[in-house]
This record gives sequence, structure tokens and C-alpha cells, in this order.
Amino acid sequence: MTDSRPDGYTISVVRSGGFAGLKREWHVSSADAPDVDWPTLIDACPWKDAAKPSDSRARDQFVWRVEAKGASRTCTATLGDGQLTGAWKSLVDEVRARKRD
Amino acid sequence: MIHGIVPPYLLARIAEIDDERFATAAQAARNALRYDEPRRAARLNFSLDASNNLVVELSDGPNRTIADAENTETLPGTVVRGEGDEPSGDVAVDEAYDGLGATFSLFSEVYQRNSIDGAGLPLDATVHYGVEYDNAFWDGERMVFGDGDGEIFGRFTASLTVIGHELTHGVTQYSAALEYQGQSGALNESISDVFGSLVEQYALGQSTAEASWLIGAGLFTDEVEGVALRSMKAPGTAYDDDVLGKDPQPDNFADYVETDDDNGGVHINSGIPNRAFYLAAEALGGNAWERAGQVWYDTLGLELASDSTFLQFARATVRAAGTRYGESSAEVDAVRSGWTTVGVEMGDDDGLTA
Repeated sequence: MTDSRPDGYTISVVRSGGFAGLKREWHVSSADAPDVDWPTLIDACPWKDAAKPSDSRARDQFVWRVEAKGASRTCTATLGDGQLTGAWKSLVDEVRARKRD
Repeated sequence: MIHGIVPPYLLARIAEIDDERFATAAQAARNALRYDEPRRAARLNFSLDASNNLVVELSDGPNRTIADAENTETLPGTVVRGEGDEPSGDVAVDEAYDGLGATFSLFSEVYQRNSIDGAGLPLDATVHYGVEYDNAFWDGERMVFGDGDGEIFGRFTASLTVIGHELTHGVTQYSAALEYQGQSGALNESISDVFGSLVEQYALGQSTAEASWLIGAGLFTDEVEGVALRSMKAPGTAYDDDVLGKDPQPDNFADYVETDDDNGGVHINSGIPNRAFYLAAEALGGNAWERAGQVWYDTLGLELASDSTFLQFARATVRAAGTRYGESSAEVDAVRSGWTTVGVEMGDDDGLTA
């Protein structure tokens, strides 16, 4: 289900790449997990500063695409595995913990 | 490789002679001992020749260090096995050590390349990275291996092709430096699969016909319907599983997958050049690391554009084959035919006429 409240979000995490090249996706609606403070988790992420993983020498690392869709805005970011730290990791771990592949 | 009948302790004595009368001998000894180069590993083999002279063979050797991340994501981790150390008893540590050795052997013995950079760069690896980590990667300096989740993947050191693949990313970094995006990224991936497979074939002494041409065989648990992660011989057939879906690799350029994921599908579209290599090797027969492998290795040294397309790379392989084996050779025909079959058409403007 989707969350149509003003502060409701639908959050998607797509992991691609890696040696195997297998794509995995996790989705969650904030309505399905009302115990989590999703707006705070989302606002903590530096969306504007998130650069596409580019000229790193790393190979076969996972690539993460994160999207948070709310009533008034949609935030997206593409991150290399090494960039998945801090607030990004907190958000992604929370979405993955919902186990809704 | 340097052959000599002078033992290293005597070479060392001669190298230190500071006397004009023996300047040439001293320099020769220093060269033999590679005094002028940074410290690096070497192999010394001793034997007796027919006249009972001691023969010393000095050859390149690997310098391996395996570290254990102890299920953290902190690199490099704790060093648990260095070059020449006895097996540790930890299967991932020892597989990584042996796999790096096998990869070093292919590049050194077949292509006369001394390690990743051609100058004896130490080979560093970390195992037990992360918790249930489903991946192996090259971080620009070292190879890193996860243990797998135990449900879909087991440990990533289990296949020699994976270790060869990761180390080859280092070789490419120091030679062709293909950008990791789109077609050049898929070529970068394919080169790692090609030499990853050749490492296994060389270690097992398998001919082209005998080899599996699978990448990552044995990584999946028994729960997965699949034999490996990729098939170079038949891209798109490595697995077909309820949970994972079907192997998405195309085997023809007409089916090239455009996607934003995975740096433009580098692990998907690599199936196309992978099959071109397999077809060239199949046409030539024998051992794939010899002629087909030599052509691909030579191609890495041709100053490829970092954003090379499949077509540009294909032309470069034809040019490399022509340079080494002659423009009217079975090798040129096999390479050109391989690319044509996977839909990369060179027309008249192939690598020989460019």
C-alpha cells in the first residue's frame, strides 16, 4: 500500500552490480512501518550532495539506487558501495529490514 | 627468467666488488640479483646440469599477503598469511592464497607479465569481509572476498575464476584502463572473465574443448537452480531460478541491454565479448591461453581508448592477432569470425586496414 499522508513516503532501494551482476530490490511504504521515523531518516541523507559513482578504481562493487517518493517531493540518489555509510546506510538498512523484496 | 650457474651468495659477493677490473662482472651480478629494482619476490630454483654444475634459475615470483577482515567492512584487516607461509587452515584464506598464486602463474609463465603492474606489485587480498557479504570486488589496490549469505551464495573464494577475475581488474587498471561504464565497462568485465577462465584452464591443464567456460561455478548453494554466474560459451544459460530469475546475459550485440543499473549493465553485456573470445578459442582449438589468450593479452597493450566500444576493441584484437601471427593467419580469421558471430561487424574496416 502507499502512504498518502503529507509526510508519507514510498522508499525503494535497488542494488545492482557486484561480481554476480544480480539485481535486488526492496520497497517499503511508510504506512507499512509506522513505528519508523521515515521523514527523519530521509531528511538526514545528503541527497543534493550524492554524486553518481564515477571514476573510482573499484570494480565489481555494488551500485545502490535509492528513491524516496513523498506527496510533495521525490528524492533519488545513486551510490557506490563505499558511499553507503552514515545516514544512507541507516535508511537503506531500515528498508532492507522490512524484507519486502 | 635468468639462467646461471652462479649461486646467489656468490652473485652477492661479486655484485659488491668495487674494483674497475671487475666492473662488468659486478654490474652483471647486480642485474642478475636485480639490485637496481625495488625489493620484490623471486623464485630461485636449483638443479645440476649434465656436467654437474649447479644451475640457479631466478624467475619472477608472487608476493602474496592475505588479511582477514573478521566479518567487518574495515580494510585491510589482520594479516593472517604471507608469502611462503604454511597453509593457515582457514579455507578462504588458503583458497585466496592459492588462487592468487595460480593467477600470478598464468600471467608470468604464459605472458611474461610480472604481477598486476608488470613490475612485481604485491598481491594483497582480504577474506571474510562483512557479514554474509554476497560479493567479491577489486577496490583499486586489493581483492576483497565475502563469505556469502549461505542461502544463495557460499564463499566467493570457492571458484578460481573469481580470484582470477578480480586480479585481472588490477591488470586492466595498469594497462588498458577501460572506463567502467557502458560498452567499455562491459569490455573491462569481459577481460576479467576471459583471464579468470584462463587461470582455471591453465591450472587444470584443460583444453578449449575440455574447459567449462563457466564463471563462478560452485558459488551458488544447492538451493539455487544454476551451475554458475555466467557462461562464456553460452551466455544467458548459467542459471534459471525461481528466486534469482534467468541469467540475463545476451550473446549477440543486437540484444545489447541498455540500463542505468550496474554502471550500464557491465555484468550483463559482457556476455557478448565473452562469447566472441570463446568462439575465437574454439576455432583455434588446443589451449585457449596460448593463441586466443595471447591475442587478448596483446590487445591490452595497444593503448585502447578508455571509452572503447565493442567495435573498437574488436578491431584492436584483429590488429593484435595480425601483428603477432600475420595478417593472413588462422588467428586473424578466428578472431574476426568470433566477433562477426556475436554481431560485431567490422566490415572492410577491420583492425588490419584501419
